[in-house]
Amino acid sequence: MGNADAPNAADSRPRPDDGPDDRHEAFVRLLMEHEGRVRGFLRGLLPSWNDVDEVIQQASIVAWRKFPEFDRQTNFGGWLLVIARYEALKHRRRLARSPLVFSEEVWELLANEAEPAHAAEAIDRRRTALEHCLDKLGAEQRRLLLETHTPGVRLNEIARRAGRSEQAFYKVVQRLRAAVLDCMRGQLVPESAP
Amino acid sequence: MTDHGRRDLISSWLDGRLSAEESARLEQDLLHSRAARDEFRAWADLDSLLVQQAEAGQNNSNNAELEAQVAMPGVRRPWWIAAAAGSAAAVIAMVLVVWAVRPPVDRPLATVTGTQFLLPAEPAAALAAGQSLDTGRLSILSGAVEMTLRNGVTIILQGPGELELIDEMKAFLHTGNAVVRVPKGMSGFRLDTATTDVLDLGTEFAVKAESGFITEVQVYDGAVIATGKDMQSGGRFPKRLEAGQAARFSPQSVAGSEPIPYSESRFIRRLPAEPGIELDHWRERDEELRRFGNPQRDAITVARAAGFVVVDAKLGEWSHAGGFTGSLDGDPADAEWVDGRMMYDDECLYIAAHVGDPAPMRNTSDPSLDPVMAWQGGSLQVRISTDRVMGWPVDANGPSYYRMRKLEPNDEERLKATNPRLSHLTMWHHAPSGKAAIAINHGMGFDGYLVNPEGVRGAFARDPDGRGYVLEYAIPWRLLNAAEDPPRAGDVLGVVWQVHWSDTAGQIWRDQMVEIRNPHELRRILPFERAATWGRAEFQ
Repeated sequence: MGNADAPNAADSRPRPDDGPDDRHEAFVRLLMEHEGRVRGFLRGLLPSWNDVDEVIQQASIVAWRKFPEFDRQTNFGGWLLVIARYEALKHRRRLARSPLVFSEEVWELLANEAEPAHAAEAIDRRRTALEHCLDKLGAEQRRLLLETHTPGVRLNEIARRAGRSEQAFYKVVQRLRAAVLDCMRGQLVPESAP
Repeated sequence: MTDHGRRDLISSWLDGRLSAEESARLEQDLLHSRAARDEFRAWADLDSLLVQQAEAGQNNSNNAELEAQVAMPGVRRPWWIAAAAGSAAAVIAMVLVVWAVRPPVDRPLATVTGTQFLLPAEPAAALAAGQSLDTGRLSILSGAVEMTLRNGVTIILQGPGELELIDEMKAFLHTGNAVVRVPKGMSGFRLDTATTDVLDLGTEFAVKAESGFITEVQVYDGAVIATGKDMQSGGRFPKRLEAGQAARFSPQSVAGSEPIPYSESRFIRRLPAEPGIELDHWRERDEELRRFGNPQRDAITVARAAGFVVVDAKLGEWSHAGGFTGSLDGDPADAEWVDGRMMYDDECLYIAAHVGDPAPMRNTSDPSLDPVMAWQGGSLQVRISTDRVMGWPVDANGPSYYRMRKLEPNDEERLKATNPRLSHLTMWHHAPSGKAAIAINHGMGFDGYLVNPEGVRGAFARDPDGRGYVLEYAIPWRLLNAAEDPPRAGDVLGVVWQVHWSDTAGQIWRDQMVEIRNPHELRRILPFERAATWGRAEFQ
């Protein structure tokens, strides 16, 4: 995949003479291309995947409404990220009483530092690193780790099926995550070094 | 904070397992340490990437066929794109991709695989199990028909409704309710309405197409992508709906769609086994009776209430009230019968009925969702004029009267159709909540539905033998636009009764009794179309 952040990288950006169907198609293609990246960005700001889903849905609606104004010389991913960040902030205010919601000060710090880290190329590198590191796990460990990250699956149910206590099972999952993360860091160092 | 402690807190935050005290500790760490924030972001990224990877694996195993259909020639689809196929954006893209499973074409497009209490819109277009269907429109007045397409997709259309079969992967619902069930492993069937396109992603879902360009979608299993159409810009925005979710799409809505309550029993998902096919001439006779009834009376006495009427479904105050009795087929042994009464005072119109019904009080129509079609699940409908100036017979026809006869109303006729003193009352027992419900609208165009408005009192009671029920309602005159000038002794106004019976599930309309009808009006005219068909309400 090329650098989707570069201007004119996508030939599906809207043009003044685009009809509704053309515009719709262009929008869907761009959204499809960049949604994963925006979801990742939001995950570092919002306490649950349900919150991320709500914000991404709202951000997509806003983006679609504003799409006729979108400048084809700019990058869609960055534009969507800005919209998503604003929608996340609004969502965060609604969640403010939750103990898992950080103060606005911390939230701003996380958001500011996360934006550059979610450039398309950086995400691609991390994806490749994850694939490599998952391959290094045993088949059963890989299956278990992915199963715990499958939407709608509850950790306590997997633990019960595995015949283990939830607490003990959670520790296993934690160790696997840490191992994969350490492995990914090892993979990414050479590329990110000056 | 140690690296280990920090990792545990971050990971627990992402899993939603952190206490308030732990969350506060993590927040302080994040506020003061750039390293902590980097670590936090790394874990959040990992969580995000793992979820995408897991979704990709799920989609690859569950939807291999769909993936193959969506894949674009010559484009490598890395796993994160496959993951996105399970998320909102990518599924949207499927809307843009034309694909279809092309089965052999020597079989008919669809076959009728079941009917229940079916009344086709045109008697000549009767439907029976085993009948072949090709592309084109299918219109039914009531009951339900199940059709199975040659690729295994099943559609149940509930009347009144009109569905157009386009091909084995697409149909258009003009009006009514339809439930689509797609065989395991198949995806991509599309059911469109005038304002919404619904794309199946391997599922069972229901669509309701209402007048006013409102479409409602409910998902029983799997997921769909519903794309509302924006009438002004022509633009659309897709919304993913999962099992257990429902939404209303309206071109007038700013957001395009809004969530509505999911109601398991709202739509018909299965038809019972076909009971057999009757001889044609009997069926035709029955269809006409079901459609127009066999009214025996042309007037009802509306007595003045002797005192305060307690609405409790006990008819102690009603002994002096006028009324009528009758049965569905005129046989006293019929299981379906009615003893109907009406009273009034300065404040209210009172209606009571004792109804013989083998499946009493089972109507599942939710007043908040389906007041318009609530009559189908077993109900009493009373249409009444409070317009003394117009008197009897009532001179007003609804839009459908003209449309069905290919007539064009003039301005005066159009004005008469909007008379707010012509009221339609639908009264039913909402079984899931156990409460009496009522929907009121006005004019022959059924303007402005009032649902359970304040001031109405209603009560139901099931017969001890479970073979019938009593209903009792008090309806303030103000809700019939007659507060200033309510009916009084000596008035002769228009009224008609329709008692409806349903299937045992309280969903499919089965039959009706039409009573208090003007005998001078031709028989094959429906009471809701033409107020002149209404009989006399003689106020004492």
